[in-house]
Amino acid sequence: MSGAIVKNDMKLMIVDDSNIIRGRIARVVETGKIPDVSVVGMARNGSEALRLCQERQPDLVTMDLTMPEMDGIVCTEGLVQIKPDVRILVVSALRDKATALEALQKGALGFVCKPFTDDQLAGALNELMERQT
Amino acid sequence: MKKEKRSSPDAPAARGGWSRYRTIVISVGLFLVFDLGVLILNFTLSSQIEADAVAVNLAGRQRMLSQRTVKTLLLTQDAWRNELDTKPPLEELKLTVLLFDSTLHAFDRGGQVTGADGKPAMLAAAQPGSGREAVTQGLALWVPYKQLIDTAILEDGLDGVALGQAVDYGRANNLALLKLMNDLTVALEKGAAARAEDLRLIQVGGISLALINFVIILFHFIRKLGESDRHIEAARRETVEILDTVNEGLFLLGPDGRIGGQLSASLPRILRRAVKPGDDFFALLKDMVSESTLRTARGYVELLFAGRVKENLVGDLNPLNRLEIQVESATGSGRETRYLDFQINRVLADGMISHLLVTVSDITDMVQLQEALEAAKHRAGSEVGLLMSALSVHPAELAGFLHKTEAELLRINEQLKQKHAGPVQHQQTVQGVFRSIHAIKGEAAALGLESVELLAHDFEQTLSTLRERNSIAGDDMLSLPVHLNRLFEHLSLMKGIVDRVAGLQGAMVGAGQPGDAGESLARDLQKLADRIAQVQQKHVRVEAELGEFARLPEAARSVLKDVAIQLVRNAVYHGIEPPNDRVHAAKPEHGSIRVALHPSGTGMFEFIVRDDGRGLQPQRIREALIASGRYRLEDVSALDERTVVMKIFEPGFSTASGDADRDAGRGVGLDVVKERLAGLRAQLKVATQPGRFTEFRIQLAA
Repeated sequence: MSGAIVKNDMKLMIVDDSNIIRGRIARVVETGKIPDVSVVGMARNGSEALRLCQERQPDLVTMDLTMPEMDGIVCTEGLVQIKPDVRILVVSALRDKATALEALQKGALGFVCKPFTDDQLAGALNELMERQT
Repeated sequence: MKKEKRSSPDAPAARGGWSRYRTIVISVGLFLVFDLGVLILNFTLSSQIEADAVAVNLAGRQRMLSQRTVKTLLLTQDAWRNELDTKPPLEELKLTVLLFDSTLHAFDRGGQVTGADGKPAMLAAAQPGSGREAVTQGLALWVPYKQLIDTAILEDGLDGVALGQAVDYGRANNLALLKLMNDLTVALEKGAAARAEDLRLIQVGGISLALINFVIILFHFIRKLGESDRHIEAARRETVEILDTVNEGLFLLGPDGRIGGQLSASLPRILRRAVKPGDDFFALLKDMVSESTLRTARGYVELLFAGRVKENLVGDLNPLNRLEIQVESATGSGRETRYLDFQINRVLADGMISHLLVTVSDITDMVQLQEALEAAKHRAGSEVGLLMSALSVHPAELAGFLHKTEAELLRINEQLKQKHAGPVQHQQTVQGVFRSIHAIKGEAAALGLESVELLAHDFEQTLSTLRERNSIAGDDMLSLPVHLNRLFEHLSLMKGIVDRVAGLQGAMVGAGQPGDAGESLARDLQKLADRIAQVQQKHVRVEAELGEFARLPEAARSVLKDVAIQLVRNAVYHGIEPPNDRVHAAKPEHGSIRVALHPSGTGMFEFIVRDDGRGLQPQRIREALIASGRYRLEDVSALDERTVVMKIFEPGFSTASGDADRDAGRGVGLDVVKERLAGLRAQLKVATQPGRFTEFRIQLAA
């Protein structure tokens, strides 16, 4: 390294219908536990996420599954079509493993169960970016 | 989390490629050197032996030519003397001399001569020890001999004198020349034989070396193979030993969903069924899990084989961790529940996912221990909570509450036991039970007995669901005794604690003094108001003037207490505004609820509950009446404001929006107030001013 500081080189989009969860994830990013990541957008449902993805071109996405208008599975499929290299982390309550599995089959790369700790989320996002945690 | 497992290569292979193949490379190199050396020597010696054969052959011809020279010389002389034709012998003489001469000179200096077959052939100069001496001596005899013959042969005939001299010379030296040519032949033959011997020696030596090399290679590889076999055998024995002794069920799962060639001895014991290599894993699971779990398991395994997802990030989705299964009990006495845990990890070979390693553990003991711990924790928590809440209530009041509530629950029990003829009676029972439970909830809340309040709330929610139905069947009533029983059990637990505490208290400080009834009610009301206000994020102060409360008879005190609880609850929930709203309306942030009891004339008392909140709002009451579905818009519009306000005393009325919580929105409360006051023959008046206050005035006889 030449010593130059590369900041915010990965763009994260948060997709969740709960503003509490959206805020929580954003706060974890702000704590610096996930270096070089910045939140570029938050969406309350699948269709909003698809619009935002085209505009902001995120590298990472945290995806809730149960949302109004368009759920996380349809949204995951759509995001992968728009941006095939996007890395999606499903963040959802573990009521139905089969649904979460479906999202992974549609292109998501990992899963974090709600409720989660800051370290669990940070660890998962770092792992998603193939970083040592 | 477990990391992906990589299959480790065996030790010899871990070394560099060169050292692994050094022996074979050296061996092959030596083999090539030996073969090439033999080939080159063979070629060289063969060429020399070929040249030797030509030389031996020509030396033999020289012997013959020396004799033919003498013979043709005599024939020529004879023909010349008898005046016969000399031409034929002379021609042969010339040819023989030419051939002998050229060949002898070629043996002397090397060069080309006419071979035995008439074709040109190369001769090397004879070497010392290999006929050189014979050639030199031969030349010494031959040169004068040839000069005499050349002199005798003229262009147009023969010189008789010279011919006679040549014949004489030939006769004198013929045997010596023959011997010399014979010596030359013998010497050349010896040289050729020596070289042939060399060739044989080289060939034998070369082939022997190659054979030795081959034998060394053979032994080396046999030794290496033996070593390798011993390593493999040792590794196999270790694997077998591990698989025989490990407690977990271990096996490799192939992409075809089949169990690999080796599995641990524990696996059939843990799964409680026969398993053998090559079995279909999902067919095995089919008897143990539901159709949907099986589908999810298949999806999960495919996902791991697909390699795209991060193994560490999908572990939670494994549907086979903490799997509950029903199996034949080990003792054979029926079926039992076991918990199994299937850990599934990728196995990488050369960077590719070759298999999944499945580790099956029986975690039944752990799960049962966990459950027992949870239950113990919960029990301890609730008992401590119960004790703490019971200790915070005045003993006499607590005893009174328990006594009264128990009686009420017994009454409800009697009601539920009655055989009802139809839905209408069911509806009435539900309404009645609902009011009683709601009142118990209110009192429990006022005393701070949260556990009782929560149980009553659960009961109330079930009743509420029933109340909203158009028709209630007998079966619908079946869940009510369950709730009732829970409350009974809880109260009896509480009574036990109270008794123990009372005994302890009695032993330590003697009998407790009953507190002033008015002060106690004031304290309870403040507690209730504080709790609801906290949830509602409001600020409320209860101003109590209840000095006369103790003068009322027990029956009136009991009713007024229930009434005060309901009215204070409503005041905090509906009347008092949030602090911001109050500030905007130029009111103090703290809402105020005044609860007062005063004498009013002979033997009469007036009980007042007044809050300085937003007042009763006729428009909201109208909306709530329409929303309840019991009134049509035109009915409500036709009512005057006073009539509208009085509708708050109807059963089921509520302006609370959304889901009911335990403090409001149940639509019971004011109808209870009205009903209980009617029992005392008390008069109830309501006064309100929107945005300013709501006041309930109750006139009752002492």
